[in-house]
Amino acid sequence: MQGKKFYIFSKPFEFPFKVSDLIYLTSENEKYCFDNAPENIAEEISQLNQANLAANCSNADDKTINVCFNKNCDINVNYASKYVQKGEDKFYFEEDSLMYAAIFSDKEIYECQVERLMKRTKQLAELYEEKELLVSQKNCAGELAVDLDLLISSLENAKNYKVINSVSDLVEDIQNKNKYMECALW
Amino acid sequence: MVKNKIAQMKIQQMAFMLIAVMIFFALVGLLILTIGFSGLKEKATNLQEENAMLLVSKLANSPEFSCGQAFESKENCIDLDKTFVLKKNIDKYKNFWGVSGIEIIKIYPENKNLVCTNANYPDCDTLELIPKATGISAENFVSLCRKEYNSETSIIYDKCELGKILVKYEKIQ
Repeated sequence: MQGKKFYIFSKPFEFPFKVSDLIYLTSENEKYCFDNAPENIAEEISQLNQANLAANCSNADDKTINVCFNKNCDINVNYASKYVQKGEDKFYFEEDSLMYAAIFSDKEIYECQVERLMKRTKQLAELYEEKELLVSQKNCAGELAVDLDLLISSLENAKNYKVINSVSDLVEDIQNKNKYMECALW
Repeated sequence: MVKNKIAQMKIQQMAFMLIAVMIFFALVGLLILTIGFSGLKEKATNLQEENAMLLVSKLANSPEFSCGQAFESKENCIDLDKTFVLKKNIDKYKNFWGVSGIEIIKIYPENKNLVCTNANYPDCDTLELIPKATGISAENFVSLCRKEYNSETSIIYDKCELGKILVKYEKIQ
């Protein structure tokens, strides 16, 4: 990445609990436009108000990298199947925060950082599992121990970062259960 | 013969002069290095202090400490139950924060200086996550929240108290 001026923004990554804040650094030399992005994404891009990010591609010049959500261009985002395609490379993601990371990163860096995030997710899941045990002694029984255990073992035995896609249903389930628990763990 | 002796004397004088000049420059060099390195140490200590100040202000909001949505309090709120569990697993976080000590101290209501253990938690005042007796510290005020059970009313409620988080670092010698 080269340039004299850089733009920065951050977004939290929650899977299902907050794991980290992701920080995105882009150069003024790399301009991106988001074609036909879902409303929430387009709104977010507009609100960022960064000169190198445009919420639509109507005024894009030849040098601008087109990020498309429903047709083939420089970067294709399959929002339903949760992957970003750049040339022949596929970047799997969960959550919008990782989608941005997939758009702006190199494959090697993206995979390495997602693996690091998964390791932290596992460690945090272990903390929450033990916390549930602790609060259950205060007459506040939870129902997440089994699911958290499953998440921990899935992340532990993962061969690569693509485990994020395979545990997404479990993560959603955990998130919903925690939301309605008397003593929410996070 | 006399001329030879004078020449030898001159050579000796020159040699001594050269040695003296070299010693002089060596001493000047040493002086410059000492002054330079003393500045470096001070700069390194200042940098460490700055890092500790930044860390202590954001540590309470990091996932391992923060209350998240579990309590009503949001900013600068430490989930004491989670942090107590973190203490048991602190080996997994070795060198993660890059400081030599982290402590959480209850300051209100009354502090009896009791260090938290499995036996006395939550009726204790100091949670030594990374124990460190000496060193310079940076601190920040936080709210310490945990779940409590009232046996009379059979109600589980959020109990939040005033506390501070301390980050300790070593001065570079």
